[in-house]
Amino acid sequence: MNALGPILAMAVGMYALRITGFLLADTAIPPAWERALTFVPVATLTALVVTSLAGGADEAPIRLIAAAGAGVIAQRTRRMWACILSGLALYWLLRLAAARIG
Amino acid sequence: MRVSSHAISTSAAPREPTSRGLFARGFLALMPLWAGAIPVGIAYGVAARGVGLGLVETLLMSLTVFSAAAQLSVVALLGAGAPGLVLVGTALALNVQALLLGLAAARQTRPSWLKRLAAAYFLTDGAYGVAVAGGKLTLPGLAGAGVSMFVAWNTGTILGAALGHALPDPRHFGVDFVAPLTFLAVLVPLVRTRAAALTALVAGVSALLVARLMPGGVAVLGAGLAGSAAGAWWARREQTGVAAVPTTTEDAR
Repeated sequence: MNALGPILAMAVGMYALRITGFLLADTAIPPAWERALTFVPVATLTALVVTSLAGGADEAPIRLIAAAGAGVIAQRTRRMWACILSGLALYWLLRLAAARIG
Repeated sequence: MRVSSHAISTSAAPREPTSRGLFARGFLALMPLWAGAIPVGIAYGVAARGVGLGLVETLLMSLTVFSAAAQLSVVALLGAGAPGLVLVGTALALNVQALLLGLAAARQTRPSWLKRLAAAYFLTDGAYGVAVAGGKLTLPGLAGAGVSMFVAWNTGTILGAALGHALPDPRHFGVDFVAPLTFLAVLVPLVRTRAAALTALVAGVSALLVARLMPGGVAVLGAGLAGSAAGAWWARREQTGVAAVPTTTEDAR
């Protein structure tokens, strides 16, 4: 199968999407937009958490509880590894428990 | 990993970290996401070869398109015999949020043109999400995180395309759960004000709603726009409001 044409078109299009924001950064924008841009990190991260959590639909309750626990650890410790490892540990424990019960 | 302590303390750090140091920090900070990126890269490699893409085409797509959502959709569409225009349109529609992320990143860092051209190539949601840790995004940090994801994604692709089904799928053990945990670890310390909390709430609900209708980046873009609009509205309300709320200055950062 020859998909080289579409692949190259996608590559050009993707780079255009990625570079456009960088190129527009020097243009004058209204102060309200400027203020809104400072909230993009929090908004984007929340969206990433929500959409990547939704991945395991069959075990959604387990993932939600484990993520909530990890969120508390993140709040207390402010360390990335503490959040990840505690969340994974909680997740595996809950999975084990669910397998026992189910 | 603990970028926040560097960003906040002024007495402990006598000089700014070097570009190389920031790049390395970004590269390392993204490494937890390898746990998800490599298996998905393998899955893409296997699927791409499965629908009849050549080895070169399979690898070339990961090197140039560099988007899990786009590439997995394209492979599914190829399998269904979709025309080239549909492939390109789908791939781009799934990544419109890159416009917003690029704007937010460059607005905060104001880098040189050459650096913009290079950093843009490696811009992904995950890299942006990790690079804003501590609330202080730097261009070398973003590039380091982007290159880190690039290495993982292409390693996965090579493994999947070359070895195929011989590999066990680690996703059975839930390694993809590392991704939300990583983003959560960056997010939680950033939510320090009411405006930020409202941003997160609106973005979270928006992401859930949009993700039901449309896949991938559209949900991230919709949530990004709705959430940041809500946060800006609240910050403005506090600034012009009756009582001076002490947290307002932090919003303006």
